[in-house]
Amino acid sequence: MTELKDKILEGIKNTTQREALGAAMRRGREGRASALQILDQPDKLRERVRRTKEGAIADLDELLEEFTVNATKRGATIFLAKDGSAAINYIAEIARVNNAKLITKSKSLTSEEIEMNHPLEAMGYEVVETDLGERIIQIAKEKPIHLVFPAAHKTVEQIADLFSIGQSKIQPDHPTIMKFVRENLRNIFLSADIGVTGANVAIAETGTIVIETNEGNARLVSSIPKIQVVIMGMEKIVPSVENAIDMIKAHPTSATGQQLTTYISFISGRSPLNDQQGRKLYIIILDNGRTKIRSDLDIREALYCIRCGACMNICPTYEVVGGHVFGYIYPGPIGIPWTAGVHGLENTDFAALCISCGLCHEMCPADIGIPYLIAKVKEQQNLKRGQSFVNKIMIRSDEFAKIASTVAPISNWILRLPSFRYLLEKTLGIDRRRHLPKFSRDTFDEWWSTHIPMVEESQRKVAYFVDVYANYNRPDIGIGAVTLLEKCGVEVVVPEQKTSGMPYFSYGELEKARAVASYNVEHMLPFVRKGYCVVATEPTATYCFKELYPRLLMNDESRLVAQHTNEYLDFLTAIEPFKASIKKVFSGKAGFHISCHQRALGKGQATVDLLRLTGIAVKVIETGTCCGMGGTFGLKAGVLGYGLSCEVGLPLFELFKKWEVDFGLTESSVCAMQLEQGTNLRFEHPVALLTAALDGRSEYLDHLRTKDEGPAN
Amino acid sequence: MITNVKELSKSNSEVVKTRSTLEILTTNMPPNAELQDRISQFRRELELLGGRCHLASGPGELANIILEIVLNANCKLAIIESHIDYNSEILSTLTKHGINAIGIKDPQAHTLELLSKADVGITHADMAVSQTATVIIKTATDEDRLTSCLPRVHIAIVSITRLVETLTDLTQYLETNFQSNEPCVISFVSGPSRTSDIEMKQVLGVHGPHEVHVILLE
Repeated sequence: MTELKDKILEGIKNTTQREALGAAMRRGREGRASALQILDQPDKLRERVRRTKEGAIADLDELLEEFTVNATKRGATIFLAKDGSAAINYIAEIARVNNAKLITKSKSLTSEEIEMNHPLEAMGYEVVETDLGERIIQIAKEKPIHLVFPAAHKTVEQIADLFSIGQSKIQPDHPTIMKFVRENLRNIFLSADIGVTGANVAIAETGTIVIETNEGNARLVSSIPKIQVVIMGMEKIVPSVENAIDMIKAHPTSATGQQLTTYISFISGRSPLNDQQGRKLYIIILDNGRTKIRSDLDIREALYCIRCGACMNICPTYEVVGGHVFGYIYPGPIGIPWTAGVHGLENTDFAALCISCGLCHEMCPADIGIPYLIAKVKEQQNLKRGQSFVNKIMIRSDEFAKIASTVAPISNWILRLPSFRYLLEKTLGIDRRRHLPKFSRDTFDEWWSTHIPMVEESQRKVAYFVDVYANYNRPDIGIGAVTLLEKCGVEVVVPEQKTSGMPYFSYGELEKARAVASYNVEHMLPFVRKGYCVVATEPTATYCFKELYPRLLMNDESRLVAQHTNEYLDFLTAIEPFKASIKKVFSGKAGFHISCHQRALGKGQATVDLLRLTGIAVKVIETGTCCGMGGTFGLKAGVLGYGLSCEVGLPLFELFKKWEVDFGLTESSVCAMQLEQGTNLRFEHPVALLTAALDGRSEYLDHLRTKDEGPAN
Repeated sequence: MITNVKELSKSNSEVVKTRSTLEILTTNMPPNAELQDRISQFRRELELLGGRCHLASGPGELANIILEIVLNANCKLAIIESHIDYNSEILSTLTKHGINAIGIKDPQAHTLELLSKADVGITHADMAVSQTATVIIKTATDEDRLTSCLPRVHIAIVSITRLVETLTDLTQYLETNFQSNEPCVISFVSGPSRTSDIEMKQVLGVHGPHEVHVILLE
């Protein structure tokens, strides 16, 4: 972990890389968004891709057989390689028999996975990467920083310098570099003995290999040399041509924002060239841990990855540190389960960089529950080497909240003492720089225990899930939430419940997470069956009910509860008379932050529209990724916690400052903590604002306009 | 007055003639308006990708369009792939204007050397997709395939009757063409080759053609 922390620090300091990578990722995100707009029914495509991959991986044995038969009929030789060295030895044998000297390669992540270049070079073969990005990192002797943009972190000056090695200086501009690369590689293409390509898709019913390329290098690599070797992961096989068409649509939209990759080659057997003798096609199908991943139904969906890189374009901590830190060979979120599966658990330290924002799942074109797969890796790490002390503390944060609330306001006073914070950092690992929210002596639970329900037997019924913050820190939010509902004629119950259990999930304590999930589902279920809707004022709690509990429990009960769970404000917005009752009592400008867990549920806009009815000009302020808090992650002392969390949040803080809003609004209590500290603005929960608006308390905004004071010195 | 009447009747008969031609066309083709939409979509999308779309009414115009592209490209050597229609018209037009144009199957030539020297490659395309500005080229030999890979200018000729709207419309074509076990490559080409690998800035023309022209042949 010390090594990881050092690498994170290095990544944070490397501003050139951060700027370049950040620009690449923004373009990836924006490109994907606009490509999805053009695409006819993107959700349907996502469903089809998911279904195709599910079916293909389930039937993999049959499809492998079918592909082998059909590709063999077209003259290809198939080799099933159990691991990387088997694949490399096979290629070396082909090279030896054919007396080859020069091997050209087009981009293949599978060949990166097995690191085939060095062993082949050591045997005396010249191996040349021909994809521009891959060529750059080959010369730089690095690993790809990104799945799709391997050299996204390099500037044009750095690239010109790399290509100038051993020859006269190349001017650092795009046209000069391109001209050089083109001329430099042309002869290599023409004189290669073996061309190694990857495969984006393989079609079982026809024995066809599908290769996508924008630069056109894969077309040259696959046509000119006498020998073509394809190296592909066994998960690339799909049953039919129709499936392949869906895949080639899904790849570019999510990877680069293109509608289609410039060139797509459907290669069925080896075509003749100039009546040359001995032209051959070898297809190496790589296992390297895939069978093992496939056999574990809990993590099998990792194999549905189509290698588009979209998950790394949205990953907040990846954006700061890059794929050399956030990755082993496979970088980014999906790189965590893949590394565990093909390179071993011992190489997955970087999993600690995942802050469980869940955005990767939202982005995934194959609908892979990446956060769960990552939690599984963290769980395996815990089983092997135990949970870290600081994570154990974070997992119990709700217990501390309870204690702090019991002894409030003394706790608030103590928590602002620098000496105590120093002690807290040294003993519990909570960063002393982090501003902590105040705790309330009165709790929601106490209020509810004496509350006489105002509405009974209504058509609209709600089972309210309170969670920590609305109970121990801001009971007024919980009380306000119930009161607003009752004013609208909604019957409210507060069933027995524990906290959401999100920290268990974030730190890979899946058994504990399951126990909490099961408790909460069990206690909501009877109400759901009677027609109640589960609502929460904390987006993370809603996310747990809708996304995580069904994944953790895999049962009908959790799915039923998930179906009947809604965000508090979405529920409220749907009540027309409520909307009509809101009057314009406020004025001013507020910035709204949609928390990641809310975004994963595709929500947020309804809340903004509702808040605008109070007279406040509400503007959604977004960078496209996360605020950096990551639940309890931003509480942890040091760079793998508070430090990194602030670096992630920086661009968002700047945006809030730029828009010069009077105060901020967000539904998430942890995002509010992060944003108050980062922007020096006050952040309020929309429920508190709506409550004040309905009460006509226009002076309510006054305290929101004061700056966040932070801890006393 | 009389002239006017005459002109009127003449133009009327022309309208009738056009209609009857249209009626014949529509039996095999989508309604004209739909086809026009498709053509403009194809043109628009191809231009967005940095390519150019041309319409040719027949062999003569086809050869002239090619000549113009070839002259503009300052071409010294043009290679013609083996499966294109009006091969001889194109060859003779280019040769007449002093362009060195060679068919890929020319037994005199060393194919790879020739291809690597050529400035322009002229190929057929079996199908075109308007939504993505893609042409689909099936090749049975790699010299045919390389004609659209190695030269810096690629001209693809496709019959307007083979212009479909979406990739899904290709399913039947693909299924038919995958039936035989003979080796073949089906290439989808959408505009000139490109990269964004340096600072995410898009540059056209990497290892494939820098310029792509698609000629829709009526």
